[in-house]
Amino acid sequence: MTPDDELKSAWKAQPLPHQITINVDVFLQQLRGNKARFTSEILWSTVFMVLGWVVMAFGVMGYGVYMVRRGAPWEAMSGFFLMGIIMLAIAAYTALDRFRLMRRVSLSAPVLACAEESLALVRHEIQLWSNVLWWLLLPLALGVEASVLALAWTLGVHWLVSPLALRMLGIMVIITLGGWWFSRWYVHTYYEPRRQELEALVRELKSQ
Amino acid sequence: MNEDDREALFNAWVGQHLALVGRVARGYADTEEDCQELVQEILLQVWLSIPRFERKAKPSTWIYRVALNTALAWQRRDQRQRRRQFQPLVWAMDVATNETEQAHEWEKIERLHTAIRRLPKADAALVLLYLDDLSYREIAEILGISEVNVGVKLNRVRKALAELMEEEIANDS
Repeated sequence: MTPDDELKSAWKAQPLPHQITINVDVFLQQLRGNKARFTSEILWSTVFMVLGWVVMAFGVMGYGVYMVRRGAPWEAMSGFFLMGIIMLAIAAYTALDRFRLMRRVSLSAPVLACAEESLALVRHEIQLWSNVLWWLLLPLALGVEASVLALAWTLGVHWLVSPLALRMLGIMVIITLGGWWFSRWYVHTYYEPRRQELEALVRELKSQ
Repeated sequence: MNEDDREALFNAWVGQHLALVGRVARGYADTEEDCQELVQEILLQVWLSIPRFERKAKPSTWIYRVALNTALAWQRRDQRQRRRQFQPLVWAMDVATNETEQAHEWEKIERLHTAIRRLPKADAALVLLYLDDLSYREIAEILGISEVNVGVKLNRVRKALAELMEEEIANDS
């Protein structure tokens, strides 16, 4: 018997100190409940996210319409409509992206294929978070700033324009930079280690 | 596949392959609690994957794939996130280990597990399949690499494993 054969036979007959047992009926019962909850959690998190943007978009635009009806000049409210359109675009982008991701990694695929698919997903998430400035933060900041500038310009209160617009600009710069910094931190802390691990796994499996 | 067929298949697979799942889990989990949790996660994924089972592969090959993919993904997950989601449904039952011979065997297996956990992840998967006496073809099917690659890798990994085992023995003595 070679040392390898010895290891194999010991492995297969390994006397575990704890024998794993399972009550299949109880397990399946719990599984069904958890699965329903898990599926609905994923679905609802996406629905809430998209719905949140849509509600905010219609809220902002509705406020614009309400103010125009009450006699506010249309130009003054144009920034609110622009912001509503930006929010709808963000909602559409989020919905499309999540819809694409609903094609989940199949765990019954060979290990290499599964690792490659997971790596593609992680890279996509990294790209999404890294570009959050361009598809989320900057459009929102520009929308808010445009609303303030349009309002101030239409009111013609020039002495108010600079303090109000500048204050708003300052707040938006802080929020945008803060959001951008957070996205970088999130990618670095959560996604980069996963990407590196998956790349190492794929490399190991492909190497001779 | 209807719910009854799915349940019958799951029942049969658990009966036949629970030990296999346990061995894979022990290869990737350090503690008994982690092992329980990983077994449970693997069984959950097996259940979820059953509708995609097309009987092209053997059930054992299928279960190995799900088990290894789940174990590798489980290791990548944040530990706090894992703990939050864990509700024990799989139990570890105490088995008598006071006989000297059994205790000696257990030490050997424990050293082997420690050595496997020190290997790179892909190599650990390869060793687990090799120790379960799977053919090169089956290993290639599970990992998604060529049979030639399996042979080449195994030669290298067996040497690495032997060295790690020696280190473990030296550390113990």
